[in-house]
Amino acid sequence: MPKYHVTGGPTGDASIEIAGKTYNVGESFEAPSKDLKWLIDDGYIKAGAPAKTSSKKQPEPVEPEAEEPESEKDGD
Amino acid sequence: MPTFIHGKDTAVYIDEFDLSSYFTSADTSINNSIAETTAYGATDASFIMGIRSGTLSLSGMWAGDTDGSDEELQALLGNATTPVITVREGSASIGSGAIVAQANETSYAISSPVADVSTVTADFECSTNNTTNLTFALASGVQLTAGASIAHGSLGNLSSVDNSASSANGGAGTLHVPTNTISGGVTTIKIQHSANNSTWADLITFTNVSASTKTSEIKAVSGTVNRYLRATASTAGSSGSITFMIAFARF
Repeated sequence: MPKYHVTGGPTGDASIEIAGKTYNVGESFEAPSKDLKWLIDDGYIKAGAPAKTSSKKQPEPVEPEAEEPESEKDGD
Repeated sequence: MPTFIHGKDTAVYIDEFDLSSYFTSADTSINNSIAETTAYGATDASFIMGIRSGTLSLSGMWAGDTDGSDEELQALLGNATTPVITVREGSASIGSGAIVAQANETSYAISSPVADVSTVTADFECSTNNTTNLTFALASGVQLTAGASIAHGSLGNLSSVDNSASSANGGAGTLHVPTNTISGGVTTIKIQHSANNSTWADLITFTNVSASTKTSEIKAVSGTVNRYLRATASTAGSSGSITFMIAFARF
């Protein structure tokens, strides 16, 4: 079944009720798409899983490798 | 065949009070001012539309009861908070008519004739002040509750009202809680709308009603109001009952 998440509608805090079950803002649910189009059009729900917040980690500083002293090249 | 209603079934809610048993007449009026634009040479007068205003006039019997007509109408005169008013048109029935209003009391009069009952008259001027999205402060709508007492364990979704079509200009909902004996938790009361009478979304969520507290509120919304409306209530309380009147008017 398609997955949806509740976005809160114009006020941002509206709950919805589907088949007798209430879903609050931020909650996700799976339901047949029948009868849900208007909730999407009016901004109460969005299809799919909620967008994940960025969890990019700061790259750990890479310690510069200690430069090996260049070996003196032997001359001719 | 038109469906007529009798005035005897009218009810009047002002803030958290059901004052129906005191009143004998409720008159509401919506007026549009016009400004004349007739110029020299014209043979017919012409006008442009001006500002809309609304008034209510309530009259009935004087009574010095606690929460009675005299106490409440005295208190409202000059009150800093604009009263919330619902006039139920006809019998208490979900889907029947109601007028919702927010209006300041502008006059209060008492009459005590020697050969008749003492009476009161109060006039109200509607005002949109301090209510977000309240485009009009006097509008005709529908009852979303029958105003009956509901036990804490029986709260839930009330019957829906079909407007035949959605509307696009928002609306206003009024809540009056004249009796509330629910204890042990708050009661949450909402107006929900639906495009199909099957799936529902919150349209208006009134401020939580505290245990054993009488209250009232008007809230307005902008934009789409879908075809079907209903009231819904739930409580965290564990005993008691609550009587609440909800009406909603589309703009």
